[in-house]
Amino acid sequence: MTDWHATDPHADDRLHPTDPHAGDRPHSTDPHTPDPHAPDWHAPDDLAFRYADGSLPEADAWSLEKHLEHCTPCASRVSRAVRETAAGAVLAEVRQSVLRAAPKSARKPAPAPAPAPSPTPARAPAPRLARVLWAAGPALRGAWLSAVLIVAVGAVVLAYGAGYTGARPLLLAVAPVVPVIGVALSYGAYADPLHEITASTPSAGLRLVLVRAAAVLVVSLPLLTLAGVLVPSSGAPGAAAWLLPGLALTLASLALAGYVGCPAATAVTGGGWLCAVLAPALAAPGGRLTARLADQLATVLDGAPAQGAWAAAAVLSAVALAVRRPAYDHLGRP
Amino acid sequence: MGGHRETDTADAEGSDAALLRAVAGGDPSAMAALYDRHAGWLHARLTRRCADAEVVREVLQDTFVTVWRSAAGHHGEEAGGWLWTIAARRLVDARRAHERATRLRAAPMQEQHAPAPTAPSAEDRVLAGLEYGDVGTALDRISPELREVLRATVVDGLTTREAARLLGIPEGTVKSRALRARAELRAALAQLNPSPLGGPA
Amino acid sequence: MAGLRVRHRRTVALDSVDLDLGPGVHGLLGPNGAGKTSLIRVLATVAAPTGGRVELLGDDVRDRRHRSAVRRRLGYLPQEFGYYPGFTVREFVAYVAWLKEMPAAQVPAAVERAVERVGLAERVDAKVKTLSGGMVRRVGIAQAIVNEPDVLLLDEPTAGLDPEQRVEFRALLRELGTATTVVVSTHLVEDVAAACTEVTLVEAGRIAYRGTPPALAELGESAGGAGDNPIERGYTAALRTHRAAALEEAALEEVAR
Repeated sequence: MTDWHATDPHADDRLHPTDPHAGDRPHSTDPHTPDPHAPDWHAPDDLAFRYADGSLPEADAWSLEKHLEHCTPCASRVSRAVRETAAGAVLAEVRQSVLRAAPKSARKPAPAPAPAPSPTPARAPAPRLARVLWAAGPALRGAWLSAVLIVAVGAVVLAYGAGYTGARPLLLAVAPVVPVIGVALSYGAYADPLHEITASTPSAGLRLVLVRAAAVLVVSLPLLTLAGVLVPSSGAPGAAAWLLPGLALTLASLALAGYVGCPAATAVTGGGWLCAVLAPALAAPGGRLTARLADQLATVLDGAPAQGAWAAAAVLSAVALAVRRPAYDHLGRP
Repeated sequence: MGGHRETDTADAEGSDAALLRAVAGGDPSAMAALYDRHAGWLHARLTRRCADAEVVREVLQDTFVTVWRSAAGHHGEEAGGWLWTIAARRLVDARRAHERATRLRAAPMQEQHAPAPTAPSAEDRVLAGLEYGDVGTALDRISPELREVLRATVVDGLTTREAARLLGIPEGTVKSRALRARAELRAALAQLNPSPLGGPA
Repeated sequence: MAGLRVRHRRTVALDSVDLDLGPGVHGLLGPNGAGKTSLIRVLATVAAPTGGRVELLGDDVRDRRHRSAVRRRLGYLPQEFGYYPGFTVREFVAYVAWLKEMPAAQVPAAVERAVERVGLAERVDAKVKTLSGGMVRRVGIAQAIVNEPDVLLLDEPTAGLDPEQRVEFRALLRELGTATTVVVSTHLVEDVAAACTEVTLVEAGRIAYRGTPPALAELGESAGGAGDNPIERGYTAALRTHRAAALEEAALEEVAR
C-alpha cells in the first residue's frame, strides 16, 4: 500500500522553487545572454546548427526547445538544419511512411476494422445515418424491429406461401399495437440500458420520447401498410385503415404514461384495442373466425365516422400529452 | 485541458493551425508541410532524450501517424508544443514497452498518490531563469542524473510517473532527485551570484 | 446545496446535507450504503431530493429550463450503466455527446479527445461489448467528459479498474480538477488520498467530516484511529467521532422525551 511517511510534503510532481522572488527577477541584465522568452527573439543560425548536431549545452538547448514549441519560423529553421545532418536520411524515410499512413489508405496500421480513422469529413455519410438510428432509441435496435419485420413478412408469407385468406384482417388487428409496443420499449429505466446516463442529459424528457416515438412510427407505419397492400383484402378494410388508430393509440399511450407510467399505459391501450377487436369477433356466432374479425374491423375502421373518430382521438391524445408534459420532466426517485 | 496557451502571435502559427485542419481532412500535402516544419527539431529533441536511434525513429513516426488521427482535436494551442506533447508521451510509452519486454519483474508500485500535475507557475519560473547565464552555469554544476530529472519534469512537462518511466527509475527517486536538483541549483546559484537574485528563500 | 434531504424508499438516505462545492476534486468517502450514490444522483439531476435545494452552476435545478442549461454542462458516470450492445466506443460516446446537445460539428473531435484521455484511442472502433470491465468503465468516463463539463460527477469510477489503471485514472482526475468541479464517490481511501483536493465523509446520510486529505490524515494521527496509513486512520477516527456524536444525540433525545 501507499507509504505516506516516505513523502516529503514538498516532494511534488514537479519542481517548485520556494524562492518567492524566482518569478519576478528583473529581466536579463546581461546583454550577452540571448533571451528566448523575449517576444521578438529568434534563434540565430549557429544556435540552430549546434542544436541540430547535438553539441549545444543542456541549458541553452532547454531554452531553445521551449522556444521552438511556440515559434514556427524557428522550428522550421532548426528542422532544416537537422535535415542537413546525418538524421536527414531517417527523416526522409519516416516522412514517406507517415504520408503512406494517410487516412484513406491507412487501414493497415489501424488494427481495428475502423470505418476510416480520420474523424471528420471522410466519415460524413455513415454518421448521419447512424445519428438517425441513435435518435430512434433502443426499440429500433432490439427485438421490436425484428417483431415488426416478422409481422410484415409473416403476413405476406401466410397469404401467398400458405394461401391463408385471413392475412389482411389479422394484420390489421395486430398492426396498431406494434407502434404502441415500440414506444413502450423506447424510453425509461426498464427499457433503455442507457437510461441512467440519458436522464442526466438535456435531451431527457418528452422531447426524446417524441423523437423515439416518431422513429418507431416511421419504421412501422410504411412497413405494415405495405404488407397490408400486398395481401388480399378478404373483406377486411383497406390496408391504410389502421394508420389513424395506430397513431391515436400511440399518442394515447404517451399521454397515459404521464399518469400511470409507460408499461401500464401501453398495456391499457394495446390491450384495449385487442379486446375491442378480438373479443366481439370471438364471441360473435357463425362464420369463420377471420370473416368475423374482418366484420368487426370494418365496424371499427371503415367509413368516415370511424376514421373521423380515430382522428379526433389522436388530436385529443396529443392535447392531453401536451398538458401532461411536465410529468416527463419530473425527476425520478432517488 | 492544461496547456492551452493562448496565442495571439504570428501568422505562421495561424498557418500551422490551417495545416492541422487540412491534415484532419486527410490532406497529404498539408501533412508533408507540417512534417517538414517540425519533424527535424522533434527528431533532434528526441535524440537528446533517447540514445536508441531506432526508438527515436519509431516514436517520430508514431507521433505523426497519431497526428493524422488527432489533428481534428487540436484547438488553438501552439502546434509545436502540441506535437511535442504527443512525442513526449509516445517516448514514455515506448520506454515503458521496452521496460516490460526486458524486465519481467515489475517494479513495486511506489507512492501511487503522486500528487498533482497541476502545472503551477513554478516550472515557468525556473524556465524563466534559464535565460540567465547563471542558471546555465549552475545547471552545468549539478550532476547529470539530477539534470535529466529536471529536464523531464520541467522542460518536457512530464508527470512524475511519466518521468519515472522515461528515465527508468522509481517515482520516489524522481521526486527526491527533483528536490535535490532544486536545492543544488539554488546553492550553485547562490555561490555564483551571492546577491539577492540567487538568494535563499 | 442547502438542507438537502433525500429519501430512499422509506429510509432517509441523506439528511440535512449542506455542501458547497467549487473547482477541484471532491471525494465523497463513506461506507457502502452511506448515501453517496443518492447524493450523486441528486446532483446529476437524475433524482429529485425530497427536501432542500440543489443549486448547480448557480441555477436551481427544479426549474426545467435552468435544468436543461445545467445538464449541458454536466458529466455523469453512474455506478452502473448499460450500453447498446451493437455500439462501438466511438458511437457510444458520440451518442451521449448528441444527447448532451453538443453542436454536431464538434462531436467527432470531442469524441476522439475524450477517448484518448481515458487511454482507449486504440479501441475506439471496437464494440463496447468486447471490452473488459475496466475498459467499459473508462468508456463511461469518456462519455462523462466528452462535453468538457463544468461539473463532473463520478460514482465509484475506480471500481473494476486494475491498480495501474487506477493510478492513471487518478492522474486524469487531478488534471480535470484544475478547471472542473469534480465529485467522486468512492469507498477507497487511496483514491481520496491520491486525487482529491477535498474530502467529505458521508456516514448514514449525514456528513461526518469535511476537510482536505492532509487534514484528515492529521486527525488520524492525533485521534489515533485504526488503519494502515494516516488517511485511513483519519477516516476511522472521524467516523468514530461522528457515530459517538450521533449516539449522544439520540441519548439526549431519549432523555428529553
